[in-house]
This record gives sequence, structure tokens and C-alpha cells, in this order.
Amino acid sequence: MEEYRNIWVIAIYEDAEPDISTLKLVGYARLLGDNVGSWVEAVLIGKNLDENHGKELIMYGADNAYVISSENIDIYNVEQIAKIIEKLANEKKPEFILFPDNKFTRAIAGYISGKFKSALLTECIKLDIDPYERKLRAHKPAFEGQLLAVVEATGGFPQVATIKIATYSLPMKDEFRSGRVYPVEINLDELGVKTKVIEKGKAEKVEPHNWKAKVVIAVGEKIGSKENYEKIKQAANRLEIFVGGTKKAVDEKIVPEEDLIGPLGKIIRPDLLVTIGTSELPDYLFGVEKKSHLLTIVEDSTEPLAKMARYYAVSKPEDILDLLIKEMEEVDK
Amino acid sequence: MPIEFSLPPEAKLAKKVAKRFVENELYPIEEEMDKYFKENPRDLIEKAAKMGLMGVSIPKEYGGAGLGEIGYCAVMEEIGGFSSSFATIVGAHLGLGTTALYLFGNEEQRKKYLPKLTKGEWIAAFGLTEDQAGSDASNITTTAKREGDEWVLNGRKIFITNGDIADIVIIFAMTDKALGAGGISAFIVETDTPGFSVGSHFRKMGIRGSATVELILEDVRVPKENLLGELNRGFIYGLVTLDGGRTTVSCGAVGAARRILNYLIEYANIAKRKGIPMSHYQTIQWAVAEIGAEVRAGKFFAYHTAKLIDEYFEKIAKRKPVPRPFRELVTRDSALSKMYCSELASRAIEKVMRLVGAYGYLEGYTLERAFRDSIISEIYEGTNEIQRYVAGRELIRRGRWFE
Amino acid sequence: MKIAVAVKYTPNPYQVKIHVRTGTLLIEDVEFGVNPKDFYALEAALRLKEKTNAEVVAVTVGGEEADEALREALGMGVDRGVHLFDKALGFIESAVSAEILSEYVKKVEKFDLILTGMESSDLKGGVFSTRLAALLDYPFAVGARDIEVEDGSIIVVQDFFPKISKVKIPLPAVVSVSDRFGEPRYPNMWAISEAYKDDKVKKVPLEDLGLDRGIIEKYLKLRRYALYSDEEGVRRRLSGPKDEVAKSIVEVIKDYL
Repeated sequence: MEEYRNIWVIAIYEDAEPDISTLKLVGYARLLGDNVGSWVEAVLIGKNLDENHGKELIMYGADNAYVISSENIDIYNVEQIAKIIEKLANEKKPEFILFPDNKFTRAIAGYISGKFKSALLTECIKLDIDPYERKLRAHKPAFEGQLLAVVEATGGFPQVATIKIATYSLPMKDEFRSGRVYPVEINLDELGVKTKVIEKGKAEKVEPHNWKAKVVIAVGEKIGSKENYEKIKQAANRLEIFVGGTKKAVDEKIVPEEDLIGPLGKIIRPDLLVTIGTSELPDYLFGVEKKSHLLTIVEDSTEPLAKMARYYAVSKPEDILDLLIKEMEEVDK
Repeated sequence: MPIEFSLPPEAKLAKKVAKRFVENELYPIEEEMDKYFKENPRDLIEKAAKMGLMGVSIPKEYGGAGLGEIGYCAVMEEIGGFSSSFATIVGAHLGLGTTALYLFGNEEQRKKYLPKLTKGEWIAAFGLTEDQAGSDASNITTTAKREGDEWVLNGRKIFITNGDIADIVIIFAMTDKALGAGGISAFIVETDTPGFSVGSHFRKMGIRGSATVELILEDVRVPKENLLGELNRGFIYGLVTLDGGRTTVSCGAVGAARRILNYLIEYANIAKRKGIPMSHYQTIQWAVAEIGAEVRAGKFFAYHTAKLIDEYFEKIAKRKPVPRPFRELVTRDSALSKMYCSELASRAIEKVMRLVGAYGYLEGYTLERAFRDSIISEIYEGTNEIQRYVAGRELIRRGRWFE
Repeated sequence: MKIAVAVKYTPNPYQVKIHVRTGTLLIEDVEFGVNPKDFYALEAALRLKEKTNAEVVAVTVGGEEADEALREALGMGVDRGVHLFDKALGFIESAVSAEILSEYVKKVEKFDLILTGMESSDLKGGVFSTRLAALLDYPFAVGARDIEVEDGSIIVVQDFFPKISKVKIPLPAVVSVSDRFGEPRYPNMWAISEAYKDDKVKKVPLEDLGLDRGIIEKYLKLRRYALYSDEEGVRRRLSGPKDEVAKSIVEVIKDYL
């Protein structure tokens, strides 16, 4: 155990810009590092990355940065990325490896922890490191998020975790913060990567369907206008998200009748229900066993919806609508 | 484990899968089917056929899944729990039409028709009821006259489920008027036979997803090979088939009552008045207990009868003699269980309707549809009044209760 | 070609309750079944079977009850089942089941292709397939929307919604199947009536694989369960300047797509 040191934050770059989740994770790792006396090392992987990218993550709180950049790095080649991290980890022996949580990083984390036969904690909502035992402990969702499970690592290093970082704040960028940036040369051909990427592109999409959609957006009357409704509907539909309206929104003619969500209109059964511009939930789930997760955008943090939601943001709909649409379009570019 | 109450593992698995099927496929289209009288949803029937639901009870050698009446009832409990319409479609096809053909057909008839029926490639219907012959089924006026190698059928049948999509219908016709009920025979009629047509479509209070139609037979010529079973024995065949069909109605009703009970419990936990959840109120608690007791009792009764029918049908299909006491027990219990289970479901729905207030009355909230759907179980497959008559009379004749 | 499908027997997540004070799970009367996302893996295997006449084996790691998951898979049309078994294996996390399955593959029976679901409805994870691949040193693909076999390799379209990446990997391999794969078939009544025949499921106790119950908490210990609430220190608010909030909202949404 002595030989494993430092907290790693894995930063995978799709284009040469860091993801907001990467930056947030660096900040979170910083807090953990300060708590247990470890360096925080960022591991950057991608194309066209240079020393400045490393420096940027140091400004957000990392102590060191390893920059692995090559024309031949393909982030769609999950095996390649996983093996790059494995190789470096074998050399540097980090104590903890942290990823921002998503389907892709979970797969990589599974691979890495398998190779090292170490503990893996995924979807961590709250992560702690026991400063004496040096074991990870986390709260994570269990049973489709109906409950929380508190899990603790018991064996193996490096301990690997993926963290649901969206609800954490972006750390401050300290332009004067400095640290060490190490460019790393990895011979990609010697990694033994057996996967060949033949094609990359846009997925074939299906029409968003009220019953089958995984994500549904319910728009309320406070969205302001029919045009606003149409705008968000169009952007969301591209991501197979079903968009509909609450009863009040239909009554005020902001949302067309056929888009009404509820027993009197379209019934839904999503994994995630997003509401915007409304203070009430459409009564959609009576009789359906599934309980959707709720992400609500409310105007005031004391609203009942904010209390019951899994995620909430406080904003007037008109202040955030265009930004949301822009971000959704970014996803599908 | 309760006394003598465990389904064979295959039936349990079938039940579980049927439940999932029904929740995924029926839930999203229930409202539409009911609101717009969308009868006989094609996709749904095809999916059900692929799953083997259309022949679940028929033995494997004829293309069925061989799960018997027990498996059939287990599956019908789940289907009936969700959609009386769909349960009616399946019941008329499998429980009545196909089962009649299986029980009373000869090998040629079985081999000719059952493989297609069990796979749902062909749909069956049961043509017994007529305008003046509902409860008094012996009063039918459809006739069948022998002419050379054919029978010529003339008459009108009414309230026939699946009549418009059926490929074959078991038609009951008078072959010897002088013998009354003892002069009725059953025929396998292929619906593309000239002279056979579908008449009026009836718009109903409930089970709007199933089609209930009039059938018209005008000089319909049926080969002599299509006489089902023996001449003039048709009436008995009808009664026996209905004994089985009735049991699936019982199970479906129990399923419906169970769904309503869960609905009430969910409502009780979620709905609040002045911050107090409805579950706090005694009226609700009592109703839950009362319906719970009936669901429990009804389920035992329905499955007990299913087991009896399973044995009964096995004997009949294998042409083994059926001891009279056993036959009387089956008839009595199928009558009583149908009467009891269909009524317990209606009682449950009415109770819940009164407790959930206005929402129970509104379109889209399941309950008013369940209310409209439930009463048919008390009427079809032999009205509950007839069931009372049959069972009551039998018990009185015997002089005491019998097991 | 021999295909294994790893299935997990999981409880209905919406019926599970906990004892709030002690944090223990109350699952005695909860309905269990095949993990919903595993149906896609079974469907993928069965479609490959139709195209290539492969043999499909459903494998599960679990206690006595897990047998039912295999029977349901048999009801869908798989050829046989393997039950890696120990009475104490109730609730296990993916690192443990991956290790147990990898021992089975190394010591008892090899497969050309191992398919798994993307994630399980109990502890989610989404890591089982790649962990297994790491232990076996097999190539892997994640989130398969389509799988085609091409002499000794497979071509997999991976779902990175809204994008995809099509890869070619040599067999033997481990592939997790996305729920965008295509409608899984329902088990059919004919196969269900045959599903409980004794010879269809082979039961392999842990000891036969050289493992013991110590493996259950080898990597992770489940301390307790809790209600999803603010008291547990769970952060729910997405905060910051508006553009950050918008980014965070879409980050959250992306994970559900």
C-alpha cells in the first residue's frame, strides 16, 4: 500500500477543450487530496493537447499533470484509452483513480479495476477517503436510484471510482497556480489494442415516443410563449427526448392539446422527467410502478418541486432556455 | 407455503411473463382502445400469438404449449387484471372455440385446425348465442340440414366475440327439432365459406377492444367431416366447453380485483387531504381489508376450479369416462366460482369508485373503464343468474353440500 | 459458435424497502426476475443464433433463486443454462460476479462471445462486461446496437448516443448490449413448458471453481442503505452562473439518454 500514492483525475478530451465535468472533478479531487495529504494528478488524454492544457488543469487545482497526446489517439476506441491509462498506472502507481461518471468512463473504470484486481465504486454521489485506512467510501444510487447504498472499498489498489460530478461547483481558476506538467510518450502500437475503429458518426435516431422515451421534458405555462415551447421541443427531439406540456400550458395555448402529458393526454414512463416553467408535476405515474427521476427548473428554491426533485436548478425559464437549447444542440453536433 | 396451493413452476413462469407482456404492451394502448372502439388490435394479437398465448392450454402434439388449464388460468389472471377486452378476445378464441374443437374433434379435425389455431395464425369464435337463445341456449333456431355429403346451415348468431376476425367458428345448430336440446349439433364452419357473413357490430358499454358481432348464415354448406363430435350431442359439448371458459373468467376477475386493490392502496398512500394521507382513514383501511379478503378467497376458488377443469378436460379429450359425481362437482364449482369471482371484482370496483371521489369518474384514470368493463363478467359465459340456478338447484337436489 | 449470456437475477427496484434505522435491505417479499437490461443481451444472442446457428448458454451467478433467471432465458430460446452457485451468494456486486464467471471460463468452459446487459437494476455499475474482459484478457465492446460475425471477429456498432462508433474486434470477446439494440422477444409459452427440464441447467458450486465465500466482500463492502435524502449529504442543486447550470443540466440529461 505504501507504494501507491496520489489521486488521479482522468481527463479525456474530445476536442481540445476540457469538459466542465473534468474541471469540477479536479476541484473535488483537490478537496479530497487536501484532506488525506495526497497530490492530485490530472491525466490528460486526447489529440492536439499540449503543455497549456496541463497547466489549465493545474490552475483549477491539480498539482501535476500528465499529458498524453497523439494523432492516433481515438477516444471512440475504448480499449485503447483504457490500455493507455493502464500502462501509465502500472508505471506511476496512483493510489486512487477518479473519473467523471458516464457510460463510457464506467466501462473504462471496469477494465482498469479488473486489470489491477482492485475496488471499483461507480456512480459516486459523495466520495470520501478514510485518511487512516486510505479506503474509498461512497454514497451511490441503488435500485434505479430509489435508494442510496453506502459502499466501502475493501481491497486492491489503485482504487477506482466514477463520480457523479454535475451537482458540484466549478472550482475557481487560479491563473497563478503552478505545478509540474509531464508530457508522456506512449507507444500506442505496443499496447496490444485489438479493437479497430471502422466508423464513427451520428446514431440513427427514432421519433421521440411518449411511452418509450427515456427522458421527457414537461413544459409549463411559465415558459412564456408558444415559440419558446417549439424551440425547446425541436432541440430536445433531436436527442430522442419526448417533449410535452402541463395542463396549464395547454390551457394557455402555449402547448398544443395533443402534447398534453398526463392520463388525459400522453402517458409517460421515462427514466428522467425534466420540468421547466411549472410549479406542479403532471400526474402521470398513477398505476405505473416505475418512479421516474425528476430534474426540475424552478424559480425559487423553496418550491415543493425542488424539495422532491432528484436534481433542481433555480432560474427563471427565460433566463436559461436559450443556454439549455445551445447545450443540447452541442451534444448533437 | 399454503395448503395445496402452488402452481407448477412452468405455470408460474408463464404467469410472470404474461404479466410483463401485459404491462408493456397493453398499458399504453388501453385508453385508446376503449375511447375509440379500436377493436381487435392487430399488432397486439400478433405479438400474443408469437408468444404462444393463443394456444397455451392445448397439448403440444397439436401445436399448443401444453400448459393445461392451470397454465391458461395463470396467464388469464394477468391478462384479465389489465384488460378485459384482451381477455375476452383470447378467451373466446382459446377457451371457447379452440378448446371445443380440441375436446370434441376427431384426430383429423384436430390435426387440420389446431396447429393453426394454437399459433394464432387462425382465430376461432364460438357461435352459440342467438336472439332468442341466450340463457336458454336450447332455444336456438339455426338449422342444419343434411344434403348428400354436406350440411346446409341457416340462421343468425348474435353477440359473437371475434366474429369479424375469426377464421373458423364453432356453430351450434338444430339438427333434430323434435329432440329439443338433445337435437343440437356443433359444426366447424370456416368463415370464408359462401353464405357466411358478418352482420351488425355492437357498440358496448365496456370491453370495447373486442368485437361483438352478428353472424349470418345463408345456405352455408359445410362438409360432413366438419360435424364436431357426434350428431345431436352439440348442446352438451357447449356446456362442457363453457364450464372451462367460465374458469378463466373467474381468474381474470380475480386479476382485475387485485389491480383495483393495488390502485386503492397506491391512492391511499399518495393522496392527501389537508396534509393527512388517505391511508389514515378507517374507511379506506377497511375497504382494503375487505377487498383483500375477497381477492384471497376468490383466487383459491378460481384455481381450485381450474385444477378440476384440467382433470375434467384431460379425461374428455382422451375419451375416458367421466364419473358422474366428478362431473357434477366440476359443473357446480365452475358455476359458483364464476358467480363469486365476477361479483367480487364488481364489488371491489364499486367500492373503490366511491372512495376515490371524482377522479374515479373521469376518463383517463382507469377506474371508470374498469367499472364499465367489470359487469360483463357477470353476464357472459352464462349469466350469474343461471349460475345461481344451476348450482342452487343441484345442491338442493343432492340434499346437502358435497365436495 | 458458442455464445454465453450473463444474466443477473435482480429484485424489482420499485418494491425494495429499507429499515430506515439500521439501513438493512428488506427484500423478502419483493418480486425478482431477470435484470431488465439483460433481455437485450439475450435478444442479441438469439438473433446471432438465428443467423449463425450458434449455441447460446445463459449463465448466472447467484444463490438458489437465481435458477429462475436461467429458466426465463430458456423460455426465450437459449439452449442451456449454467448456474454458478453458492447459498451465500445473494446480493453481489459486479466485480465479484465477474471474477466468478472468469474462473468458470478459464477452468471449465470457453465461449467465443460473452454478452451482457449494460447495467443492472440493483447496483447499476455498468462495469461488469469490461471487468470480465480485463480478467480474461479478452477484447471488448460496450453498448452494442448491432453485432455481426465475420470470420473469427465481430463488428459491433457501439452506442455513444447521439453518436456511434463501429468497431471490429477479434473473438473471443466480451460485449455489453445496449438497450437500443432492438425489441427483445418475450419468452414464449412453448419454450417455457420445456424450461424446467432437469438437464437444461448445470449447477456449478463455487468450490468447484476454487473459490470460497470470502470473495463476496473481496473488493467492496456494502455498509448500509439509506433513503435518497438531503440528510445523507446528497447534493441536489445544480448551481453556478447560468451557463454553467445549463451545462450541468445537460450533463445530467446525457447520462439518462
